[in-house]
Amino acid sequence: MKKRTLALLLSASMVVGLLAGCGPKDPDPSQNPNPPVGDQETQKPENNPPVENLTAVQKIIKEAEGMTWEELAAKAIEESNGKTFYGVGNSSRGKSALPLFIDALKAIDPSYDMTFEWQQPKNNKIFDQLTADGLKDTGTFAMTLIQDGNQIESKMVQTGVLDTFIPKAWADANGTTADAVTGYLPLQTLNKVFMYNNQGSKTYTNCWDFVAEGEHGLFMDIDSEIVGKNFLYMLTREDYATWLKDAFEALPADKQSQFQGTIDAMASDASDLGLGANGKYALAWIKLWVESYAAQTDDGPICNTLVAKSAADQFGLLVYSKLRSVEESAEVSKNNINVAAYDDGYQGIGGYGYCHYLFVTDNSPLPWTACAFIYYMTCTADGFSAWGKDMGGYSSNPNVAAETEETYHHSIGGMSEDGTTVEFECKNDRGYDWWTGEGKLVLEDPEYCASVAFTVGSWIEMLTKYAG
Amino acid sequence: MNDRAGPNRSAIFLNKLKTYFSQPYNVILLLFGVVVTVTTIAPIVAIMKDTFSIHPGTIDQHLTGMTSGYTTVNYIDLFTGQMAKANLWTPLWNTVLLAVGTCVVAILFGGLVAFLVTRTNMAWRKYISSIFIFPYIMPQWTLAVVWQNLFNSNAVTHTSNGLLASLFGINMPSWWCQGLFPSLMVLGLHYAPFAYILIGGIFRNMDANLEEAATILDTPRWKIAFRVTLPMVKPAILSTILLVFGSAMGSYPVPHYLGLTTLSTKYVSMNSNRTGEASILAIIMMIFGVAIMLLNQMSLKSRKSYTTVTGKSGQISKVNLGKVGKYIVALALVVVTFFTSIFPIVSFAFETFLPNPGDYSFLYTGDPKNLTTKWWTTDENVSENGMYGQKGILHNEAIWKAFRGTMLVSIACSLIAGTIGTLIGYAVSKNRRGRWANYVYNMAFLPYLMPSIAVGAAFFILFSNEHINLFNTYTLLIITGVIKYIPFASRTSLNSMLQLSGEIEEAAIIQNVPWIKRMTRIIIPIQKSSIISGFMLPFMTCLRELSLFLLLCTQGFILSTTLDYFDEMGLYAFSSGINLILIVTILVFNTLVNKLTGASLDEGIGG
Amino acid sequence: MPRIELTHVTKRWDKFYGVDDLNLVIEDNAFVTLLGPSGCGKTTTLRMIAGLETPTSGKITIGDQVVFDSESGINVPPNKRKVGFLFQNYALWPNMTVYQNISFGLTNIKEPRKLTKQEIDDIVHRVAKVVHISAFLDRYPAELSGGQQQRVAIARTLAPEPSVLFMDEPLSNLDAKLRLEMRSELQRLHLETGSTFVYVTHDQMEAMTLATKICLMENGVLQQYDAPLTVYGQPNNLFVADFVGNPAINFIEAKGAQNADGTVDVTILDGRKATFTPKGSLSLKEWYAQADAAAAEKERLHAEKAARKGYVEKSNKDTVFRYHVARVDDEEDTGEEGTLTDEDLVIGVRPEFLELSENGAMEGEIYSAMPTGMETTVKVRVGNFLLTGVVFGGVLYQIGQKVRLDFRGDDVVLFSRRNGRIITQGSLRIQ
Repeated sequence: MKKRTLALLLSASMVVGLLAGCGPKDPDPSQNPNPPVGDQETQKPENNPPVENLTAVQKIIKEAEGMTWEELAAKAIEESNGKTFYGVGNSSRGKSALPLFIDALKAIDPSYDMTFEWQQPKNNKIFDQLTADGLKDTGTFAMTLIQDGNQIESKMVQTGVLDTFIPKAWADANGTTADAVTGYLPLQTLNKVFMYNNQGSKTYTNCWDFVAEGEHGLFMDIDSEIVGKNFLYMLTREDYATWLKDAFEALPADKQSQFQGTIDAMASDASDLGLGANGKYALAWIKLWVESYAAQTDDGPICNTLVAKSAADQFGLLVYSKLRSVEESAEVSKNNINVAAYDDGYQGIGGYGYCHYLFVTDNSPLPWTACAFIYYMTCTADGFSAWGKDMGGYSSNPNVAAETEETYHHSIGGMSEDGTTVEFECKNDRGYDWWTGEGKLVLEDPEYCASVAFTVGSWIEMLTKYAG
Repeated sequence: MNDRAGPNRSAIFLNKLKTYFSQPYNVILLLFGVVVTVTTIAPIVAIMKDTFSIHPGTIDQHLTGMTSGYTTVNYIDLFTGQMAKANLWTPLWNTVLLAVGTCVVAILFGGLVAFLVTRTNMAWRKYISSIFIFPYIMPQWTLAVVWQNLFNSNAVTHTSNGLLASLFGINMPSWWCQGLFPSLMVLGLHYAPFAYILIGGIFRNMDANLEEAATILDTPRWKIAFRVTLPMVKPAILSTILLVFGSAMGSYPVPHYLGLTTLSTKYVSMNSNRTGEASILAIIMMIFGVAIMLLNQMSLKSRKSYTTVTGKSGQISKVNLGKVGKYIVALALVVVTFFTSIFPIVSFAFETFLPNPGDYSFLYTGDPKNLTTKWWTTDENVSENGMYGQKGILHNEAIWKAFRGTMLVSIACSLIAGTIGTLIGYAVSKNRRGRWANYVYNMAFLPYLMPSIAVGAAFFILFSNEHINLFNTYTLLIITGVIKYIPFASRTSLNSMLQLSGEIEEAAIIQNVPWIKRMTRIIIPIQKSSIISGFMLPFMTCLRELSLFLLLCTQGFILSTTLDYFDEMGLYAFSSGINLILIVTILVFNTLVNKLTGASLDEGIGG
Repeated sequence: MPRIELTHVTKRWDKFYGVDDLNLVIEDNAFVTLLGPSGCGKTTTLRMIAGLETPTSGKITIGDQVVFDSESGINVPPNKRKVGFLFQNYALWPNMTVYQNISFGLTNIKEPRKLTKQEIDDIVHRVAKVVHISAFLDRYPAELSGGQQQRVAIARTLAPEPSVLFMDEPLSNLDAKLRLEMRSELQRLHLETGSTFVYVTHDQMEAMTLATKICLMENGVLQQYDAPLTVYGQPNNLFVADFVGNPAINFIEAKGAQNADGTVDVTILDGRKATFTPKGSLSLKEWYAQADAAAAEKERLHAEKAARKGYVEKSNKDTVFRYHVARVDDEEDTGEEGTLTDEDLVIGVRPEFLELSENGAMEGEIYSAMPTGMETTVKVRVGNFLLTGVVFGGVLYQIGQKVRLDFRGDDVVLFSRRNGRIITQGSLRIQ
């Protein structure tokens, strides 16, 4: 009985996780169910409340969710012609997308014009900024592009600062409807993947190899890059913990014995924290990781380090797309590194996937324009091109994703001019499907993160970080 | 008495008011007294309130179960919770060590160089004197980056090899590469020019007769140093501590880059899920600032007088280092200053031509193919050139917009803070014994002593509410910068005004010269060099300030945040380029001001 | 027009009284010197009149304008008091040339109208000529000698033609010869400009020679305010007598009582009998009664003042001046005088009243003689005491030479030893 409930809950949360975490790419009917029964406790209040309880912006969103691009664009043109549009986001590319959006509106109405300002706050300031702005009757920011599902959930959504708008075309492409979507609207999924420098003798064939004795992975400090912490939270979810368990069991016996002690020691903590049966594997991996990684300020320096010849046998967990900017030289080459998950026989998690979400602010000065902009970014390849032109970012809209691949050929990005000879293996992006399937990418689930932020979160904070 | 005064008491009051306000310095004191009180107290109150507020999505909500309202749970959890050691005591201890260590390094290094330059016959003194100021001009974390580029190694820090490791195969130990030691060395080097200027000023003016008198009495050299020289230099040392301690405490970037957990870095990292507790950390840092001010007050009182050592001319006896010695010592300093001043600039310049950040292929191969000008000249960001979607520096609107923003903020801060500070210094000098005058002066000084990051945090909280939201506006940056940098000007101004005989102004008062004209035609021209340094210091400091502005704007808003962004991203070509722009800007301005007015930077930092 | 009046002006810093209840009237066109040892409050007084210092209490009037009144809170700022001020250290503006220093104040004159460039130029050249600095107009102060700087300062002060001119020890930084020269210049200027001059100095010679009236102060208290010769001849008290005059007055301690005929028989100089004959009528008894009554009244007023709120006790207390009697074995003044009675007197004899002659009443011995050509200052030893005298002409004395002496004239001054004040003048005859 107990097991069945657990299984039910598990499968439900997995589905929600996939849906809420990152837009499903391939609408498989069985994976896009109507809100399952077990999902009730995570149902957000603003999702299906009676219309009269909605805020002004929510009403507009409701209306907009039924509109086509042309209808929405007309509203936006009417609303924002000659005005200034303020957006704030974790990605600087919003700044590149906005002019394209304005051009798209101009194509409809040549007299249309809008100025814009795109801000990219530092560190965690985006949440403070949105909170402060949310206090005003009419805010400054029309919309936001934001990451870190955990804080979005607790600081932005539960407090009513941000509202989700689901474009019709996006829902259609994903085989669902706006009302049926319970999570947030992701623009794209980004992946941080394990890469190692291949100039030395070491190889990494299992994700447990990264936490073996004497290993020090390069990783952004989890206190300054919160999504890194979310990755650790996610590992404790039973399905991902199970991946770790499976990988552990694939290890040769001598390596297993190295970790067995730690895993056993975690058993009581796992049950204290209310984790599932395999939680101890997750906690063990987390503990070993936190106690061993060498903190860096950003993925940029990690990438710079790993691609250099002299970084023999070093490895890191970093944003895949960083590879796009590596220039070949005597010391540096993209061939100096391997993406661990691409190696034959690699076992276990290949990295971590997290999303850029799009929201309309609940006191948006230009709600129609915000909706139209979001529509444009999520439903057209042009709108997504600011991100789509580079590898390592996957649109949540399957149609856009396909079109983007058509245009930019990221799957053969590592081939030489002729398109068939492999020049840089690591740059052949195997795509979202591969990564979430075979590549065993751990995906961020905002609600799960928020729910364990002060249980697992505090447990992590108690660990002693590696310091040189 | 009463009935005599009774009938026209209001007239008397009016007369008294008239008399009071007929003195410009009273008007200045009253006006700025109110202003600095508000601008100093209000942020403190705001941040105090924040420590008791509940922040949704953070620990206080988790612990209280409430989403709004007030609680003391932040204090309870921070001081007694299971994280108390990690979140409070360890960072606090590290912070104190860092601040003390920085003071020691700055005073020892700066003092030593000051002594060598002013009191010995060391060779190349002029060169060393001017090159020594450079680390202060550069953003403080750039030296941290240089440190990493020098000493990091694959074996110890698990990164690519730094210069020392790749050229000589030397792997410096971990404590040398990360944590407290490099942090205090870097900050110490950064602030050593303070000590150099302050202590050097005394050495330069110190009457050698004092030492000679002791020499004639056959006192041993070491005894002269400890009993005569050191006490003379003590005021300068105290001033240095005053200026450096708070700054070192509040530095965010240096410990952040070098992996030391201090209150500042903890503030930033705790801000996401322990917001209220982070504010308590800011308050703790502020308490240190207040404590330093009180200590300074006490030391001033015990010294009775403000005047340091004047000494008219006096032949300064120079220690003879010997024919060879004077070159050996100079050479040692040249080597050290090369690494603190020249090497960073050269490496910045070099960095902007590397194909990949930190990719020194050219050095090994000598092949010019391993160099590129793309970081400067690329004028589009569509095709991928290994530039992370950025245009080259020369064409990068973001950088130049940030540059204009920085110039705006720096010039505005310099003009406003310089003017206000000069006026306060003037007014206080006219009313030396007045209690109110001293209050105004100290109130104006307080923000300087409070760690930058805490001041920034307080201003962010103060100006982020439903009525005013100034986040990411130049207004906010300018207000904050002005408040923080008034002391630069008020301090130099007060010291220079005290040197000016009161008769000089009185002679003009008697002739009915209006106040404005007295200031602009007489007082300011006479004391222009120190007054100008009261304007130059805020300008320079503002230009490269990060800790203060970190929390107040987005990353492309001004150059220092842009620079830090690129540094964190690992785009060293951009950050180095920006660094060069900053250094060149400061040098150009300094030269311009020097040429136009004859004032120079190393005068009057503390006076 | 500008008559200056100070009423009960007091300036104190906490417990220290710089100026204590000063009442003073400076007549129009007067040349008044404020004289006194350093720290006596004379500069403070001057600065208070000019408005550069704010009195603690009291009232100051310049002309018919009340410029300061603590009771009604009036305090006219210095620039509105229309006065000139010459500073001790010149206070020349180092960033301006001599010409600019002089003209700067003139450019600020707005009443009755702004001066034209030509007018300013004329004035500058005129005053420059007066003080002989026409040649240096383009120089900066640092390029001038002390005397030249002094003259620039004077020119700057004179240029706006102030009707009241304050000078704070303007000549103290000059060498002796230049000082003498500038002194006569100032006298001439006073005459030419017709302004009221108030002049602070600690040099009694300067005060004597320049002033129409001397205001002598000590410890913040006005000691005497009179014409120079009055101050010299009829000093109010022992302090004034001692401070004014060079060589200094001879003080001779005396003990005696008044006779019925008004003369006073005194014992002086170790038992020598002498008779002091007052110039006018005198009743010592009455004088003492009056003096005591006045002292009591003063005490009463003071007590009343002390009872008021906000009164601060004077930490620098007033004491009776400790005069100095010259002796051969110049022993330290122990300061112990025992109880003084009405019979304890001091006789003050100016050196010029000491007459050396063949048949003087008293025998003495030349102790020292300093001829200057015009006159000879001699010290004569009488018993253990030394008396100073001045003999005109180039008389040569041998040290140790016996001489006889008398006291000449009827301007010998009689002081009370008890309160230090003058009783009367008269003649002194040795019996």
